[in-house]
Amino acid sequence: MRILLIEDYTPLRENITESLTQAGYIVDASATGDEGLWYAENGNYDVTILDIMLPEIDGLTILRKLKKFGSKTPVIIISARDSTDHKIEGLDAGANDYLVKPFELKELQARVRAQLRKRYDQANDSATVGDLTVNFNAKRVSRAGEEITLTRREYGLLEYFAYRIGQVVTRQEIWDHVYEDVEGGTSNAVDVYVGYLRKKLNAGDKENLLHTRRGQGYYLEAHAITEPVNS
Amino acid sequence: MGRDTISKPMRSPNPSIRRRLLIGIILAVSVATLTGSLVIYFSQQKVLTQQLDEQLFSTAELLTIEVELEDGKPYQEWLAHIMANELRQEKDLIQVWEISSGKTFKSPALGSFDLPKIHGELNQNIIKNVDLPGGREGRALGVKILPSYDEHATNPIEGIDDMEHIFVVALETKSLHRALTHLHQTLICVVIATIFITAVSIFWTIRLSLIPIQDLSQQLQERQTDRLGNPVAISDNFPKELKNLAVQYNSLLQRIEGVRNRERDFSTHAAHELRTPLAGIQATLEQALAGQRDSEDYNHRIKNALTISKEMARLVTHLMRFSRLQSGTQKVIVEEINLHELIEATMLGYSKKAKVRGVQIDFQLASSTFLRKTDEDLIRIIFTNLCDNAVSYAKENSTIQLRTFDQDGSFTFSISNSSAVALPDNLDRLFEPFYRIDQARTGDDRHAGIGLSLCREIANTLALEIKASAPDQQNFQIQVSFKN
Repeated sequence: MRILLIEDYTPLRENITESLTQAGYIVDASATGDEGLWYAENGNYDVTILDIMLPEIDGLTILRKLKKFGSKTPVIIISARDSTDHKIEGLDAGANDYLVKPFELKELQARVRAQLRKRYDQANDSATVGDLTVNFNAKRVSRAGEEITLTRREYGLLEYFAYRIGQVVTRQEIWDHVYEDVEGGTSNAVDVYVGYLRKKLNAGDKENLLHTRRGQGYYLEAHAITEPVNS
Repeated sequence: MGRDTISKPMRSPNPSIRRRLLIGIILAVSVATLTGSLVIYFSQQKVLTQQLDEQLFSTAELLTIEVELEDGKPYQEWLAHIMANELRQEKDLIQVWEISSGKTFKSPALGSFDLPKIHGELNQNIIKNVDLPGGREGRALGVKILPSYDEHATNPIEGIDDMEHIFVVALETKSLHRALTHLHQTLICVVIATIFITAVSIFWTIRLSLIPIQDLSQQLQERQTDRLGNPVAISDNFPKELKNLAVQYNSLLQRIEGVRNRERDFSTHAAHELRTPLAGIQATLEQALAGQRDSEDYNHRIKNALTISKEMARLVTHLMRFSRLQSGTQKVIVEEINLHELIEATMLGYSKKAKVRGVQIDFQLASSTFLRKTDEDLIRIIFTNLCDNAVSYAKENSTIQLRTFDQDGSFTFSISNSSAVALPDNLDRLFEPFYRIDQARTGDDRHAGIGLSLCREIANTLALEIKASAPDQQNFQIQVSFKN
């Protein structure tokens, strides 16, 4: 999952980036409003974390521009402004959540997860496909009760599939949401990692859950779907 | 315990306007009505008495000529007329004395009663209140007369001067007293009715007049503390006398609200300025504890947290000093200092930062009054803030001009730079606490917007003049003038 962080205060920006990266997210961090707006308009992000008082362009202006632009990416405002009026102003401008500084990083992570669940219509903090369970909170994967050990990249890939169960995910989308380097969408690196993941998930001749839709992409489902899949 | 208590007469500490007005107006109306009634009563009494007296005069004038001289002897013709008229026999109260003989003649109505023998000099009337037969009250006119005679007589009447008579005629005052009693009762009723009607109407008038005050009081009583500045509603039927009070009250409330807002804004800004570095410390330490790290990594993170803490401590020091300056509790230590040395030393501290930004500093310290008695610490804060701002906000590769000169014989310091940021139209806003041209923090180089506010408070404390100017919106200058 790719997250955009726009925060000018260096210590906070660096630590949030590190914390989210450790939690398995891809984080693009920006220190100024104009740069952050450029990222937001040109990137495909799952969540945007936005400070209000920013150099060049303030956070509320960025938020309004994004909403005018038609962006569906949920926005979490992080601000030292703690009054109800400020919160209302931020939420009315289009923010999905408002977190007052100082906050605990684990709370920020929980709010990011909550926004991801909303964005991908997930009711719980885990997804189940057949006998496969992906726990988003604990970042654990098990199949038929047996835990599967995945690398950070493999987990990121599976998590993205799990958030979009039954939907065909294109290679470009995988690049956009799972890989740090958004360039190189034509590379077969995605196919290679999907192969690794499929091998680990299907270990012991288990039924394949990660299916290929030729010419389109991949989808996670208990059984392969013969009719066209909604993407 | 036997403690003596001295009781003092209780007096209400908050006299009621309604009661005062009510009592005052009723007293005034009562006194006015009573006085008016007494005037009317006595005037009427005088008029009625005068009418009675005129009646006595008329009667006396008519009847005294009926004491005639007939054949050289007095003849009481008036008595003959009375005796010929039954009605007059019952009513007329007349008595005549013949002084020389001592004989008296009375009208039948007097019976055995004698009227008082009142008279003045010859033909001089005297009128008095008298008692009449049957205990009745009356009024009598007495006059000393000579019998009347034919004025055309050719021969003088001899001895007529010895024929003096005293003529007394009386009238009953029963009708006069009845009229006065009726008037008296009427006036009492009028006084009572006037006082009652006045009291009721004044009570209602006062009550109606006080309703706006009660409304005003209720509006203020029901006002929530967070809405103190909302003006009191002044409707069209609000009394003119109270309107000015309400307007003044609204003005006062707005001033109070302004002070409250400034205090609230200051607290909000202060909290806001502290929240962000606090979030930085918290995030840094949380991340430090988030996993196993080597000692170098721990050192790095702890150092970062310490740096932020020092920034916060500096900000808190500024805020505390600002608060002390505002409240007038900042201690001022006056000693002689060399302002030129202080300026050079302060700017030297920013030479590295200026070099990084390619900013040149042009010194022209030309004042001859650079030795001043003032507070060195506070002056250093002013110079530090002004130099810091100039270096931070000057355009890259530009020149900061630092000047001192004598203006009106006193030391003046000015620092000017080309501004890399857009200046506000109202430059005075720069001196507001927490006002920032750029709302963000510029990396680790934090400007909380308290520096110039602090400078102004110090200037106020040390009786200096500080002002900002921007002749062309490009070059920005701040000038600090010492006063003699």
